[in-house]
Amino acid sequence: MPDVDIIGFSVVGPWDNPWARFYSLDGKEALPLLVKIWMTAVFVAGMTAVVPARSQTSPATVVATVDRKPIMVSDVQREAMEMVGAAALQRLIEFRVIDDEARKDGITVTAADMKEQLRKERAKLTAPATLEDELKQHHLTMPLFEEMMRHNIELHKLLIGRVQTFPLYHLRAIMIYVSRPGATQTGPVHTDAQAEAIVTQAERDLQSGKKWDDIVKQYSEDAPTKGNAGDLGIVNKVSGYDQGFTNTAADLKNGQISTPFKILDGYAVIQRISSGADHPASENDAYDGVESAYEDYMVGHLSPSYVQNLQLKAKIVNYLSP
Amino acid sequence: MKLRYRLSALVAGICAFSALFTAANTAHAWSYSNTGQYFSTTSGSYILDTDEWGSTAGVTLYYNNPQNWDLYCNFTGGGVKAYPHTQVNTNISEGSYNVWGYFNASPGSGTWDLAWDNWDSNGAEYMIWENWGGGAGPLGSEVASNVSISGAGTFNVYSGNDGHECISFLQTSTADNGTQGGVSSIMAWAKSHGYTSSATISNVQFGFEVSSTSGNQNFIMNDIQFGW
Repeated sequence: MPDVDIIGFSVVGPWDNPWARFYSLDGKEALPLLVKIWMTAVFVAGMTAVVPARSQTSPATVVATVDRKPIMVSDVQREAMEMVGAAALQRLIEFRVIDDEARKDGITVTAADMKEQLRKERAKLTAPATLEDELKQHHLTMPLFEEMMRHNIELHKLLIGRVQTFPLYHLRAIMIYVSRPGATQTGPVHTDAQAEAIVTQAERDLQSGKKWDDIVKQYSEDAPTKGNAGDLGIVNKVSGYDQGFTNTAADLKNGQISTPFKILDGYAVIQRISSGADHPASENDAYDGVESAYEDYMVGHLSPSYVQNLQLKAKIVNYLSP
Repeated sequence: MKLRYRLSALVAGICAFSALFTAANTAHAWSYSNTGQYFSTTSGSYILDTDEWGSTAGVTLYYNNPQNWDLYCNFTGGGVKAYPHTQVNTNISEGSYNVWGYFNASPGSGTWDLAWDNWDSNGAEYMIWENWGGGAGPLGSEVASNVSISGAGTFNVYSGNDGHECISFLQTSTADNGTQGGVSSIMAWAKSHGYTSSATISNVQFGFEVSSTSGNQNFIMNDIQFGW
């Protein structure tokens, strides 16, 4: 076989979304990719003498007959290699470089890590679907799933230190919108001067002792939050809201109400309910959930280039894919 | 800002597992639907992703193909919940940028933006906001206003960093449908102002970044076509 150095090999997104090509247009399972990868992985592993028990069947073993003509393991192996050999090997290479890097960094995946991750993954499924059902439906085994999970936990631990975090705040808001050509208007809109006058009046009413909830109902034009006391939930500067919300919140204390400030499409007044550094225990889960979702996002974002760089650093010789 | 959500393999896998194919929504004449958080389907060069990365709330993605779809959702609270989008993997080298797109969208009510999300090979993110609603705003602060870019439009430009550079070009003439040209010129502007070095555009995405909704809402992509 040719001795081919695959430095510079383009990663085809296994850490991007390995399932992304899992369905045909009509949504039916198009290619049971992981099954193919597993089949090929077994074969490739056999080539390197790291042989799972199930692949120790002799290539000459007959696995089926058609009109008494045999189909042998070697036939299946050849077919699997041709179909997905390169992709499967790429996957194994990535697993290997992640394992090696984790080992260098002293990172281990404990049984508790796996148990917790499994709990999270089960929680994401909507009843009556179960993980076992889904695995069965996609011809996957729990050991293979756990192997994927283990590598993802390693990757998460390797990258979590690189994730930049931002202050979190639980905020409520009153928003008054201005007219903008081309805007998809969903409520009353105003000129800039009108909007500023309205939000200023709202603030005056608050200062005079009127209740926040009542002022939101009376003034706010933000449809999603108007019926919920203006609750924006827990946000940080990457939450998709105008930066004015978190910039203003940074200068407030819990419970304090801001003066009016400009946002992209109007004006707002906010009340800071709590912050990541100062919130009641009853909000722990909510803050943890937001932080965890953001960390997962960032790790997912960093993963493709990180895994690619690990491969560039490693000495990899690929005999399968010139 | 648009958070390009690159899922961990496991998370994506689980979400793909949760794909449940239901009868078409006849009111919208959709042929297919899916209720998974991270459903993805491909047709030709076009990829459709639900990309509900900031929420576990049930959503339904109705679709005929990756260029014609509808995210039916109900999101409350802060933070971007989903970026349902159409994507093509371009890998266009600098000097060959000639990306354009025709789009026709119908957003629902809430806090959202309708935006392009282009990534270069240096990891920088370039957004073009065609329209938005509610309290949405781009990452960072405004660095230039009323910038006229040939063939692309006039923009207010924002720059921010959440671990990577994100530069957002907000159209001053917003619309839910139209043709966005001049992506090459936008990139050239960004380069000449020091926001990027020579790079390849790895992929191009276009969709709705949805943070919150006023009850159940449909965010519909009637059509999106990329050229490059």
